[in-house]
Amino acid sequence: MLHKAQDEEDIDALRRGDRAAFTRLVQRYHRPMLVIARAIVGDVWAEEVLQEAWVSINRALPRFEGRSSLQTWLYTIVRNEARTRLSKESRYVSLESTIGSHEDTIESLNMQFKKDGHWQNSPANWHTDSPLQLLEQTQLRQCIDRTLSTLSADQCAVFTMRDLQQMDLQEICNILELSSSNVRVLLHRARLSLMQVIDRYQETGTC
Amino acid sequence: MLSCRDLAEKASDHIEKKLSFREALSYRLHLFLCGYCRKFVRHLKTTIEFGQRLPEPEPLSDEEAEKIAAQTFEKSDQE
Repeated sequence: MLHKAQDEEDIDALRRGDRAAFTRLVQRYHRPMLVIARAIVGDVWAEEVLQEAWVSINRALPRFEGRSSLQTWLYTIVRNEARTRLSKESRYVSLESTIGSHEDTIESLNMQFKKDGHWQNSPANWHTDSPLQLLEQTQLRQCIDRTLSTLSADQCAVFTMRDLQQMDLQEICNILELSSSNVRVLLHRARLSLMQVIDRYQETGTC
Repeated sequence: MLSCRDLAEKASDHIEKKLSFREALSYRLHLFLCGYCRKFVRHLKTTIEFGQRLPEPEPLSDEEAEKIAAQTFEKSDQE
């Protein structure tokens, strides 16, 4: 909901078809919408899907009634365009069926436990538990950026929507058409990937 | 009784308040007794807060956004 104030300010102009307001909307939402499109159709078609989505959005804006937030409405249109594209290509693969395919993070977490489920060793001590201090570490930020770019598309979409944009979990489930438990699994794995990077950085000072 | 592995798997669910009453009770009991898990959860919470404070990806430049808007209006006019 980071752009809510700007959305509210622009909504009347958007409904009237104001081009400057539409350009600002593109500026705010193109990148997060691309993340969602990638999660559903993959890299190859994501840009194309987004172009089609913007045309649909432009056409539908005069009828936007505000029953959901503008952000949710936009993301739902992207989801629909992405699904239309997949069904055209006869390659619809629901995200639900791909959830089990990213096991690296869980594997690496599992290796930290003994057979009886207890920790092999204590989790490492961190020099700082302060998110603000961590954010000031340029090199860590670079490590995190690199890690975010290697997350699976579905993990990246859920992480972006939940932690970066602080969207409601149920809204994320609706947009991505995933069960609540699967969204939470994806979110937890994304967070664990980031945590491992911070862990390594705290221990070695490198990625 | 939860194992440490179970707790590590349920930690985000607990933070998101998605555990049942019974699960939450068992989670908190384990946490009360286990210093390693408390440390793990502390690190996870730091990571989440860190993630929430990360800046969103750079917005599009004026030129990029204008180009997409122009293409969109052009396509909309054609249809």
